[in-house]
Amino acid sequence: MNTRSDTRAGNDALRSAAVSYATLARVFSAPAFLLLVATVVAPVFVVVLISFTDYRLGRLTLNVVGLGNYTRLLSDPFFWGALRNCAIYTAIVVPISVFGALYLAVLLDARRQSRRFYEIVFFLPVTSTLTAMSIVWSYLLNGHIGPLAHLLAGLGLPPVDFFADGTLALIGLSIIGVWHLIGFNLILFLAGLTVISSELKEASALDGMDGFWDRLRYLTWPLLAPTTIVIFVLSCIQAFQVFDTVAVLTNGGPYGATEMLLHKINTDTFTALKAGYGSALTVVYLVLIGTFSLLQVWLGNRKAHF
Amino acid sequence: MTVKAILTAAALALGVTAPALAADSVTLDFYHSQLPFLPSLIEGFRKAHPDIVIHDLAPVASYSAGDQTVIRGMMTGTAPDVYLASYASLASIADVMKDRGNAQSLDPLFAKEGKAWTAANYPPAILDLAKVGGEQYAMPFTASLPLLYVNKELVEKAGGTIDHFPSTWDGVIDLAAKISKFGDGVQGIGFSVGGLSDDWYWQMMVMSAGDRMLNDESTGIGYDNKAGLEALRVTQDIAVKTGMSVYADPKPAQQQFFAGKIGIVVESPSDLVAYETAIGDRFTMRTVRFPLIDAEKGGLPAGGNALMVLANDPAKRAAAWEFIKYMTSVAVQADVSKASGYMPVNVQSASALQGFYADHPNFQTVFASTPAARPWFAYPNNTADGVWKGVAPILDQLQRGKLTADAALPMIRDHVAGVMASQ
Repeated sequence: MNTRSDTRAGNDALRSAAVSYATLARVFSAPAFLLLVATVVAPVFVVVLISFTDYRLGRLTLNVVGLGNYTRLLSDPFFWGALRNCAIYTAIVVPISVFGALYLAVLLDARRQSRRFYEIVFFLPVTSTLTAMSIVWSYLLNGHIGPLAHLLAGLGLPPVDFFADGTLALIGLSIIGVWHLIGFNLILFLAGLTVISSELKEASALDGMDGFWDRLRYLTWPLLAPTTIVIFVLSCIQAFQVFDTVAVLTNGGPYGATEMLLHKINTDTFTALKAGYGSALTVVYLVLIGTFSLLQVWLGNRKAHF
Repeated sequence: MTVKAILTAAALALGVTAPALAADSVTLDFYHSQLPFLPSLIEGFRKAHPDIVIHDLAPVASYSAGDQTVIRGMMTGTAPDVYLASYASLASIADVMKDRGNAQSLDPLFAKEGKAWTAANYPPAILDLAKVGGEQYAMPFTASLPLLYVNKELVEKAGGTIDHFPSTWDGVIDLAAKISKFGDGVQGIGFSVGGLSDDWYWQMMVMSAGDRMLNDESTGIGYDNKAGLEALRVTQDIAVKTGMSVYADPKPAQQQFFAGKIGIVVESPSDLVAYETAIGDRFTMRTVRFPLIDAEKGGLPAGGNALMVLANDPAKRAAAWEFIKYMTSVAVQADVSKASGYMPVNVQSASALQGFYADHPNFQTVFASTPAARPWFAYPNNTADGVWKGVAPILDQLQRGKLTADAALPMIRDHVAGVMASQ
């Protein structure tokens, strides 16, 4: 696109050279373009096409069923259950991990010597493999043998078995989700804080804004608003993609209480082999994630005029 | 000897041996789930058949993950030659093979051996477990029927004995209720019928009442009748009348049983060795028959796995057949039984194991139920998961006493009919 407008702007004498420049640019970008089409764009189209069929994994034959998979999906209580669980999970994880990270970032920003240390400590969960850490968490939250069980027993409280109870299982997964996300958000907030100039801070201090909460409420928080919006949307996307912990710890149980959209797509497509129906679920998932991403781009652009 | 003579001899030797090796050596890719006794069996086969190379692929964590890999393999031409599949997944794999036009049953290989050979080694009831649409698509390798694992001391303290263990569910429930009265966290029975990732427990209840999981047309449940209601009633009584803790997972009851806190649990004999190891000398564990709700018509779902041959090449199929014959031979099956607790699929192994059984009565219990063995119910078109997802929570509520059997049956009926209509 850009190259074309450049050539139009260029004078006639240079036109032939510029055309060959545009061609050259296309030739150079062709491999990347083709790879993108082959590995990202084409598969999405294939999934959309399969979602209109009754294709079963492994078969050579299929029938076109039109919107059949989509109407079935609307009347599938397990689809709505998965969607509801995803929404609840997101509603728990996103606010805690965003505002928790903001709080930590403001605290850390004031630190000079120990800041690096805390950054590393809080960022470590992001670098760890969630699948492996899920197993560690299952021990930590175990109602009978873990440290939490010992703590509760020591306080004379009844044991809490996180992954045996429907409501608690979702909360257990949320705890792990917050733990994994908060470090990432913290680093983004710290980056956002660096752009707040020290002059502003000094000026506000001179005007009598001494308290921690006052500074947060009237100075830091408004200036961090654009960063917060981006982090908020990114966290929503991350939370909606929850899969590892579900697959390792609960398998969607007990009785569907922690069934999430991605996990349901996986079991329906690869365990029950219903690739057609699984593709329809995937399309719905893509639309949801796409909406979040568009929201992010739109809010991101607004930020530029802030 | 001249140089020329040596060269000639070498050429001759090469000329004779090289083609012989190339023609005789067949490599088989063998794919299976993790079974602790398998490696030594494969080693034994290598020694007995040096001409057949068994390429032992990395074992898979679960049957369902294995099925996925095999089906993917069929799509990309990298399927293993021999696959150890669970009885529950034979039909769906055979269906994919048929759809792809490369399904070959083992019937011609059985025919070559002759009827007398088959009859002398494999009982028809065992062979039936691995049939799909009447054709022998796999060779049974292990077989199991559910048993009750009991804590002998708790049972005796409650006034029962192993030798005269109740043979009806009502008798077992009475005994369990007595054990539950001991206090100190001790419970009579741990059998959360809905708390398993598949419907194995529920198949036991329905089949032992003499019913089928689905009707003949596969449009809905096959237990929408008096016997089905009785299965639901017993399922509820097991929990409600004994004060049982209902779990959504089999592990808690298992751990409590290991700790001597539960009197009776339901298990496959294949876990016998693992259970005996876990319990050690904390208490005496004994196995007894799983009671049939209908002593005459009732059956029990057979668990276990079977060897499928996926290769199409005749040389590979012939080699795979040798491997299958070895794995189901008298001696190997006796070893499998001793190492796990599975029933041997070869009839002659039982007599070879008589001395062992005399010393280990727990291993013999399963044979008492053999006449009740029925093939594991395989749902059409992989609907098992969809069916169970709706039935399991209903059974959970039933056992927690929040639903009556009369209320549960129509709920199950409607859910299963819905799944079958939209498959």
